[in-house]
Amino acid sequence: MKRFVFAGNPNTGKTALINAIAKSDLEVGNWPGVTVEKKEAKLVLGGERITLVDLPGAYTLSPYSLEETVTRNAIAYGDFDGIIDVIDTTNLRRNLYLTLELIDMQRPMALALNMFDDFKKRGYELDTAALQKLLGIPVVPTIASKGLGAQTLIDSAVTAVREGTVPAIQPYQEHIEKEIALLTHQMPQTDLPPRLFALHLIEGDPYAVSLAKKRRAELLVEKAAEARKRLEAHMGLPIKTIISRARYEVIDRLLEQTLTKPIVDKVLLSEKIDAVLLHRWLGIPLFFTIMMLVFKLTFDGSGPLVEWISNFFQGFAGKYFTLALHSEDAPPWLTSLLTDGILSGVGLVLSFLPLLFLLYFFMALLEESGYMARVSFLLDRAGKALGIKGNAFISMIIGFGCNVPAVYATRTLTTRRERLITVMMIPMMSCSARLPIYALFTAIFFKEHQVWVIMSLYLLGIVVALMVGWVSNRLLRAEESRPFFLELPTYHLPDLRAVWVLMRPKLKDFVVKAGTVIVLASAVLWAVINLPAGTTPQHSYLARAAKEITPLFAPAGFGTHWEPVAAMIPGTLAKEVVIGSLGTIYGTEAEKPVATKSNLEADALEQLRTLKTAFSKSFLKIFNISVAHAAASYSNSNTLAQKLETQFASPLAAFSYMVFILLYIPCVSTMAAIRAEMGTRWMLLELVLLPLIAYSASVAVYQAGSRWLGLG
Amino acid sequence: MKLNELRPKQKAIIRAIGDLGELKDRLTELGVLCGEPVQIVRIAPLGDPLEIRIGDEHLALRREDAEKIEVEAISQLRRRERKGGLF
Repeated sequence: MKRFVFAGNPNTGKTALINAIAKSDLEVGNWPGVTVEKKEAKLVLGGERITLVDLPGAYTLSPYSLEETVTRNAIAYGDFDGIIDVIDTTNLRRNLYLTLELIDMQRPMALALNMFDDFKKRGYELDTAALQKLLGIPVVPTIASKGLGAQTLIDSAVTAVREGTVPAIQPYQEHIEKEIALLTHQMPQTDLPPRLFALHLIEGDPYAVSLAKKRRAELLVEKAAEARKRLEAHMGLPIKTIISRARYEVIDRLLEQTLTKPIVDKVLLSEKIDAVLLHRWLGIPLFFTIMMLVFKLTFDGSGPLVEWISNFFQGFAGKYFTLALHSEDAPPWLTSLLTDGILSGVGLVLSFLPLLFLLYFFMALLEESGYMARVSFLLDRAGKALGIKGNAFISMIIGFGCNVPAVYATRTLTTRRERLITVMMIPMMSCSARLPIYALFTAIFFKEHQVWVIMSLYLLGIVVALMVGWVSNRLLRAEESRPFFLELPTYHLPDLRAVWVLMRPKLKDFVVKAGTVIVLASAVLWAVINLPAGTTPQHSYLARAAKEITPLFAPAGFGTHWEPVAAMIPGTLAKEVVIGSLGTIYGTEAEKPVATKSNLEADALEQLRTLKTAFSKSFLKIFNISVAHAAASYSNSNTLAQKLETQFASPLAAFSYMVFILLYIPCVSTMAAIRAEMGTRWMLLELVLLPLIAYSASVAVYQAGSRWLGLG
Repeated sequence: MKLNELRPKQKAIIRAIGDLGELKDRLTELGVLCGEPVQIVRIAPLGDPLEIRIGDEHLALRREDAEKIEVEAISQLRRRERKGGLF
């Protein structure tokens, strides 16, 4: 079995190229000990099994980010047979820097000149035969998105490994070469590539130094330090500058012999796009427009499918599950637990999938195209006071749709600290599930100012989020911080396969990690609502607990009736549940018709038919961008509305209740996402913190409103 | 003058790179070296960060970091050239 590692700068199309070679999906896992994704593909070529490893993008082997560290370690430990260096041909000079470092490893290797079509389009010519001769390795032009050159690339890499050919050394200037020779001469036999190791030691690279010490080669470290001093004294420059400059000299020499530039450099399309998208006045409005569009497409497009899945589980699957259990003579409580508890939990998990699918799709599209880097550029200033960088805002905006994918979206942030701050802010983003509650309550208590009241709730969420972010930034240790630095890559037309590779692990993670917690939580909630056995909604454990804590809410204005308080507890499952729970508790909901007779075949056909309608509706909605009517009328819950009107002493009390709904635990799915991404400790902290914030805010609103504004 | 003092589109040559910690090494490796021409492409709508161009490379840096990079505007350079003696 042969292992090939794919190394290259970020955004050079490595993943797409591996996909084109292996003609199969990549297996996605994690690199040991870190949350960086490890992608691998396996194939059989000429009777030999081959593994292709996709290393995270790196500019050089002196890492600046977690991803680069992974790449550096994977290469330094050398558990591979050959390197395939994928470079973006449209940016030869910078990409060749890593190539030179890889060449210094003196291992079998092949060079893929990716995006060769874009390069040609700009009027450049490259003498690949000459470059191949100079570097002593196979040089293959490729177009990963079309799969062109992929086969030649892997074939030539396999040949290089079989014949054991190593690249030709590209000599740096004499002084450096002398020092390298001196050092490699004194180097004990190790598993490390001597030339690169010597160079890194001369540079004083901390990782190389630690490797040397581990191998008891302290003397070597000393010699390298002497070499560094000599070079710095001789050139009058810091060592990093000397080495970098030497590498660029080699690169320029190579390009001089092989590259023909067009007489006039065309203004790149990418720069024209940026002139609009990063425009002083238009940039930020355009960003919001793009985000709005992504939202609309995601939520409108997934709506009918989400609805279908919920109905499928509640109606169809629930019905036949009940019937099946009935014929097995299962006790009614078990039937209820399995259908209302477990099955509806599974349904809840799966109903998120269409939404997440579309959202991840658009996010991956924005990331692959290069726009995400621009978002960071546009909004960086705004996040500075909160200790976060521009890209954190993307997650928060996603949060207005649904907090769950918002938490996962923080993966694109560079440091754990930034991710934590952002994750702390996300639950305050009022997600779409909270909207029906506002709609119902404002329709009852604020008939004339419905829109303004709802808007004020969204704004309140943002203000609280900013406060939480500011405080978190103050409290969290200021570690890991590195100066902001960002490459604005040339825009690329995203490759759908690469987009899918980006999306798939996220979807899988949601189903597996978050799904488990959601199903468990839904079983527990079932228990508190339905126990003790044979209880009514008014006497369940839920009701008893709610009656106990209700007086606590007196300062917030809703401490007299236990029912609204009780409804908030199942509301932690999903905010949509609050209204339904209110209905159940007040007993205004019609009893579910008990399924007695059934026709499986007809029902199944009916489900298929509605699925088809749901798909076409989803499709139509994506292309028919209409303003959604958030404040839908709740004519069928008239009895509920009448009941609720008597339960709150004043509109102010109802508003205070909505503030609490806005800010307390968003839902178990979000909590599960936080646990998956940040760990159990942070989830527990949120479980304590969020109700406290919600309580303080609603008390503050109620007290301020009733004392100073004379409301209520 | 400092890199952040350049006007958008104005070209300059890098003269010295101050203390930027780890970022300095990274910038050096990306070709941000003394003697290289540099240009501010644009300033972000909120006034920070700056988009700079080195060769074909587009990088974004915060103002506070750009402040530590000493540059010489091409216009100044030409004036000095006319007076005779570039260095």
